[in-house]
Amino acid sequence: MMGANFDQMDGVFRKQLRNYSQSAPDDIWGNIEQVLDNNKKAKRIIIYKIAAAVAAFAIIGSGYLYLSNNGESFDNNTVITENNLQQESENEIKILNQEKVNERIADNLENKKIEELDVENQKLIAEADFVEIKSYNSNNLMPVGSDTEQREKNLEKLSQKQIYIKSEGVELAIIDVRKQRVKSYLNSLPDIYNSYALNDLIEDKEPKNNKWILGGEFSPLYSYRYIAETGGDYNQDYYNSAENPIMSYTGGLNVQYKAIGRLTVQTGVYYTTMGQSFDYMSVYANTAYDLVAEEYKDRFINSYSITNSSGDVSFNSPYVIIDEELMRVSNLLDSKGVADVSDPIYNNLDAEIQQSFQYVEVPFLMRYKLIDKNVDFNIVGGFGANFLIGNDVYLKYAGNKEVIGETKGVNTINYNSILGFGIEYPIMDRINIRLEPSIKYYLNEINSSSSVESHPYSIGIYAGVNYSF
Amino acid sequence: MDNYTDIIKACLKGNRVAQNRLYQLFADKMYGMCLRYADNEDEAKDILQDGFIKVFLNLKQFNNKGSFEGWIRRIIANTALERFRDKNYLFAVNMETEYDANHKQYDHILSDLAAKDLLKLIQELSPQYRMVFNLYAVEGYSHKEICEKLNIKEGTSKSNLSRAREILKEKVKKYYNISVNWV
Repeated sequence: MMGANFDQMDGVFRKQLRNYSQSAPDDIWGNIEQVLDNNKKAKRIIIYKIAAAVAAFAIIGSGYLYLSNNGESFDNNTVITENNLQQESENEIKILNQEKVNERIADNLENKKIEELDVENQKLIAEADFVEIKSYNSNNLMPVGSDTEQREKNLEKLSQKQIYIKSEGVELAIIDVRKQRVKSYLNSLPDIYNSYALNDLIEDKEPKNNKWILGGEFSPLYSYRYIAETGGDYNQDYYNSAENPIMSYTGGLNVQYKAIGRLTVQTGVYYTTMGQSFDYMSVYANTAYDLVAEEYKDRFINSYSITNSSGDVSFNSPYVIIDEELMRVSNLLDSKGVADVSDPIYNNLDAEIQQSFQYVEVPFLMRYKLIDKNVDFNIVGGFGANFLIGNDVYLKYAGNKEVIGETKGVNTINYNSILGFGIEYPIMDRINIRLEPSIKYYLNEINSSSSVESHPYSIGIYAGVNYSF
Repeated sequence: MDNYTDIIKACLKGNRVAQNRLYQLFADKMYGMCLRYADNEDEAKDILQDGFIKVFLNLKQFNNKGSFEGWIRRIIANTALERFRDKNYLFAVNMETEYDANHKQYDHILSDLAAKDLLKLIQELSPQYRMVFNLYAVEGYSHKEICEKLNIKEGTSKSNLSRAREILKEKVKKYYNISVNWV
């Protein structure tokens, strides 16, 4: 009996209070909006920090590559300088235009309404990123009454890029038409519901279900190798102490297809350079070589064989190469005798010997979107085929880069595994920028004929742009 | 079946106007709910604010299968419970205070008076009794669900409910003298 009474009592409370409604205090929405804004800003700051870090990394990497190649790229430098000058003057023109735009707007728009703007002013506004409209009749923004359509058209026509609308110092809205949306409406709009109707009009109706993505990317690479087995007289420590990683680079185009849900498949074509350098090598130039007659120069040519974990390098050179600590250099022609490098005729070049392998890489990747929001986070994995198209050993000294030979017996086709973690951020309707730290590891040894089992690997931060269609 | 697909999509894109519209659609009803869980109006405002921030930040998780209002209601209830847990009410202390009968608003229509007065009675319960009574009697949760949410034993949930009902019954008798058959 008591239970039934309580059920009845619960029923009274439920009936009266379950859907009880009371007018929420006005200030709550403002607080919520502030938190949402801060949340957006915090996300943006993280992205900017990552972008800044990668940009710094890319600049340092590019600078390194540029400096290490400047001996042979004189012509390119000239072109780059000219391009820079051209770019600078274009920027200057843009700035001047912007100033002109601001002047014109200040002169012409004072106390005028948007609908009164002539075609020329509309064009000027379209060129400007931010335009402050001094006076603005909010009825033009608010679609009310029978001529709503015309008012919206007026506004849309003006919104070629991004317009920051102020009315007598009161912020009304920021419209970013490049993204096809009202970036934000501010609280001072008199009727939030009417403005929502306008927002529907400007906003892209539905995100297009673009299945294909075309992308381009570039990354500086930290390139080295892992020695799985040595197989000879020397152990891994020996090779690790005698060789060094190098900074190289990769870049190319890719195409992606959105297969199922968050899964995308990707392939492409990349140009990739990898390699390593020899440590403890002293290289001397014989100053007499340049002075003797042509018919005697041959007498100064030495034949060398240098061994490292990637294989043997054989070459003929007028330079004298001495291994400071290890026994990697063989002089193949006994008749040339042993050079006494303490003789002043020999000039120590402070040079570096570097192996470089150039590949055309065709990766096959699966990309899974872990977080599918405004900023996407992807995990990327797959395999790649690397076709050897270049195999050089360089002597680098004093800004010069001279090919002195090649590594014998390296494989012409190599397969690597790829693992990466990517961040994508939309900058325009169909265009995303991407940052992707990635590691690539050769599944096969680089040189099947060598006793050393050496697997090259590279670590890079890929920066690129994607276009969806 | 609720159909808020368009407004949810717009909110997910970060459209502030749509977010405001969604808030306006549910704010009053959810504020009414917050008042049931809170000690006072200030606390109800805090719950409403925190709850809606969670709604917007987790909107992507709404899968369009169930009732959208029900989904928001659950978030608001959980926000109130989290607040209750944060305050660390370990014991159900009888905190009911004397009700000032002069506060009765006789000039309202009967149904409105009844709802507001019932709300006031619930607010006067100690926090744990209030939580248990709200979840069981008004929201329709089972004791098993309540003990999971509040991290208490099922027996405690039952005894809290029983005690809450007794207190409410006494208060109605004492202050209103309303002739309803469950008193």
